[in-house]
Amino acid sequence: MKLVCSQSSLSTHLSLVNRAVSSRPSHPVLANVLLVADEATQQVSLSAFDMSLGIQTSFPARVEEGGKLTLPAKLLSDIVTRLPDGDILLDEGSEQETNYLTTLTCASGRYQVRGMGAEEFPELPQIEDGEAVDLSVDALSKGLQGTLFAASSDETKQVLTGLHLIIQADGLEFAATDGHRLSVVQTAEEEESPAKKDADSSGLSVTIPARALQELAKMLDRQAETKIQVQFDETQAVFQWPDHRLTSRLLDGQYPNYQQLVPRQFVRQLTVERRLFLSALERIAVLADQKNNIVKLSLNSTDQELTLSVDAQDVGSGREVFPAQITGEDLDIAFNVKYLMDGLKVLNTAEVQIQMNTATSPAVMSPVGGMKMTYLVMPVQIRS
Amino acid sequence: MNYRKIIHIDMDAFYASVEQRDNPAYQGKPIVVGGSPDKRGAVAAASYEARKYGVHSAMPSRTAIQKCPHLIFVKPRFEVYRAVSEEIREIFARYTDLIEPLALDEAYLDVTANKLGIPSATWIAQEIRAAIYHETHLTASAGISINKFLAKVASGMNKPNGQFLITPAAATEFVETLPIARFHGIGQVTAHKLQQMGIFTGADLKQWSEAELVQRFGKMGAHYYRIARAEDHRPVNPNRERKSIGAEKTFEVDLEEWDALSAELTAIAQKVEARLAARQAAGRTLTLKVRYANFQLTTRCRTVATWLWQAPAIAAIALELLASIDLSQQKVRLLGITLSNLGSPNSTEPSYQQLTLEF
Repeated sequence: MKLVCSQSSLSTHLSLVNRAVSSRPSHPVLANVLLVADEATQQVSLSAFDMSLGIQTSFPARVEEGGKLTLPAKLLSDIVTRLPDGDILLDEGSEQETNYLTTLTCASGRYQVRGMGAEEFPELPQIEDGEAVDLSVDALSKGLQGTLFAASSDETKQVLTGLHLIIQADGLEFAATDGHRLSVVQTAEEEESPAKKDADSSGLSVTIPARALQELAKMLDRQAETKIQVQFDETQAVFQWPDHRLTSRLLDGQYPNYQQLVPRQFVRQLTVERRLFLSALERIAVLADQKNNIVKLSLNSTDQELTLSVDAQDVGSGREVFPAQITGEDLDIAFNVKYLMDGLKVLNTAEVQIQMNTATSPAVMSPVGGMKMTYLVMPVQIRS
Repeated sequence: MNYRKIIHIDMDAFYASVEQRDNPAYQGKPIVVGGSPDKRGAVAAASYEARKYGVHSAMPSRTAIQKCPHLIFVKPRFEVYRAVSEEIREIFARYTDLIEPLALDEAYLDVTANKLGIPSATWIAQEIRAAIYHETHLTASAGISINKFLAKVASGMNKPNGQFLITPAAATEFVETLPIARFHGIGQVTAHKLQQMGIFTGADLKQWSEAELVQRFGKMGAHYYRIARAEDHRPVNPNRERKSIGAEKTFEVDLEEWDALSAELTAIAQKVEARLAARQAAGRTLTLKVRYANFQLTTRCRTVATWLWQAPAIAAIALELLASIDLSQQKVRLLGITLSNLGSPNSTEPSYQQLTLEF
């Protein structure tokens, strides 16, 4: 393999695929990134795969000699990011003689890195005959942003570390929960979208590790396509768009039947200005962080006021009062302040609505107008 | 020379004995108090009948049932144990106010100047054990000596329902012949390390200079130096309040596989549960300690809204913290879990419970 490419594209693409390099590789080659140079198309593709998440990207280069090779991902990217702007010549030399000792030459100097053969590098999963659906990038980004934060980061909780995606003829439904809160976003597909044609009426549902989708969300942020294709089979999901491919294993196990958790009726309702509420909570959180993250909300319907208070024993306390539209009887209810802030950060409307029944039953936060999002938070019960 | 008179009282298989006392069906049977085996619980206490099968406290309940298939699991009743513990403490208070409780079932007493003016600490220990039996129908063992270290070792000598005196004159010889593994405060790994240094008894330990021991074992080295000479100047401290409770384990062989690490961490969490249970405590801040093969130390901590005192909850958070640490560069030499921000889960202070969704 011999090719010339710009430092900036190599560096950018390495940082993309690096996210799929295993931190605990089960095989040495998985600590490497696979480089494939194609003389005919004058493209280089990079792949990394930790046996769960796989990322492949390609970019144009002057390929003088095609070939395949793997190089240690961390080392390569640590070197390349520090190289000066300009062209890099990457030369594998003759395989038999050099034993994968690859030379990087740039304006400032030369580096040699020992690689490994490409034969042992596992292929990223391919889906032969799973269903293919085109999704709107906008809808996908919104759905991911509105739910990913609620997925569990506790690896022992299996299916809850994933995001549940339902593809229906009329749109997508995203859901994530960690057992304490649940976020559900529904996005509508425009008329005549390919999704409508391809997905059957019963809908298609899968649970994808949140970690893979966090990477997908970051990648989607930085590209200009409006549609991407997704394919599923029993065990894998593959997202692809020009020059990019992200594959992820699916999580097995029954995803909780979350729709039944959302109460149908509420006896109390609170409408507040989102920014005002969020910034007050951010101040409260300074003290709540010191102890147990608990914020108490007191609803006063007579004065149409919401009081936030924090009592971090032995550390300090705080209290803020601001106007709110409140219906229903007065109530004191406590929450993990982080859970409230997480929801308020992704709801992008000027006002939000919180519906409640009692101090020990689920509260549901939703935007006033705008996207269709339901964020359910379980309160913290205070026993004295 | 004026010697102190220190007694270490240790209730025999305390929780298990309380359960056997209160439920005739358990008498003479192998029982353990603790979590049931299907919930990944740990043994908090084992009756002497259960100990014959090799069941001991801090053992995972699942292992316990394997060792003794007809083992009876009893749910702990901490309010009862605490009440009994208070009865016993009142008995102690008839003799001295210098009482340092180590747990619900264990305490040091300084009876050098006791309220009844009894000159013999052996008599006092005798009377205390008799009063405990008379008033609670439970048995206790006692160790009597001139400092805490010796008293503690002594209370284990004639267990159960016995006592042992180490006189000032006998102290030196006693420690010299004591196998290193029986020194209180020297754990398995340290004992192993000492044995590799050719130290098998107190006499062997005595051959090493303080500087050498400090160099090898840090601050503890100075303590080892003194206890090898039967010296322990720590006072009986009635106000000692623990700020944290934890457990840690140094591995015989450094670990790197996730499965092995998580299994060890789960076992440590069970030990922490047992130690918390012994003090009727719970914590809200969990600190995970990781020492790498190169001795570099990393910690991660998390404070939660709910009281932590059960092994599965402790293990879940510890594992989550462990997963956040980059373990790819170095093997792991030691793992530890400590709970701080301690309190009692059923005290009068408001308790907070994050409610969960019922899927």
